[in-house]
Amino acid sequence: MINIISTEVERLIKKYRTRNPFEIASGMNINIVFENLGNLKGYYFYQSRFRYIVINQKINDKFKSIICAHELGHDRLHQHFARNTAIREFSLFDMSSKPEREANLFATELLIPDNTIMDFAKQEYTYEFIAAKLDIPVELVDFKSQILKNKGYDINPIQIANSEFLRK
Amino acid sequence: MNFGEKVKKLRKELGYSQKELASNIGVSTKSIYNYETDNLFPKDKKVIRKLAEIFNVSVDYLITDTDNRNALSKTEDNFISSAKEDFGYKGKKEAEALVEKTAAMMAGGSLSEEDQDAFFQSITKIYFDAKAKAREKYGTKK
Repeated sequence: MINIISTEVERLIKKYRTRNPFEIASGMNINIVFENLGNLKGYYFYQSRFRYIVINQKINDKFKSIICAHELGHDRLHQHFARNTAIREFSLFDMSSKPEREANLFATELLIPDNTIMDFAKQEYTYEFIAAKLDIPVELVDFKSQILKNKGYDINPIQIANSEFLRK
Repeated sequence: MNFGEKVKKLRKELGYSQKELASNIGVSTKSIYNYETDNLFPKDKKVIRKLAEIFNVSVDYLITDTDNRNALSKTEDNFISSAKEDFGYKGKKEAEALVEKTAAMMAGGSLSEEDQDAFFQSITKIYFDAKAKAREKYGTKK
């Protein structure tokens, strides 16, 4: 599955010439809406042949990108699922469900280029340090390292993905 | 209780006179009088919706002869009624399915009531947005 995700992300980056999830989503005619959602971060919704990524207007811009990328992952990987049954997104970094895990991997692969992490990893920095340096949640560093390992890079994922500290 | 009795009862609960209620809804005092005594339904569906809004009850509660005010939550119920009004039987089915989906999702209990309300409001808004877009683009008929 990681291979499929990497291939799809690569295809999108090539096609739209950007890693910006907002630009890619609008290129794909997905509606992006900012709404008051209380403590929810966002969700993906399919109705009458229109696709929506809804993002909480209150959260900061960096996080908006992560959520947009994550929901874009649901659009690419789980649209069939959203059409029939589900509206997604409450727990952004919940890795207990397969679709969440896949959307997280998708978001990470889209937002973070391989060499960004590898440059740090070669110098043996901790994941927390790398996350702080890049100003991203530490989960993303972990997800990315899992992808990199899958691609054959010399890196050891720390598998902290079940952490729930970003849930709220 | 029928429609007229409900209007009268709810109006008194609010402490409104017929005249006050009439001006709030934008109809004549005589209309309110007629609803209450002859059990006449307003000709314009919007009036019923406004009444439901002012009384803080669902449209279905007002127009059916049952006394169960809380069968479905008012918001959910009004959403289903408006979907039905705008998009007919299919809209009603869609709205019901959506309510069911969101209920299933909320069942985990990790969301506060406030968040649930915010989410439901958002999703209904987007539902109507999608339907409006679909109507424009594909000419979906009523």
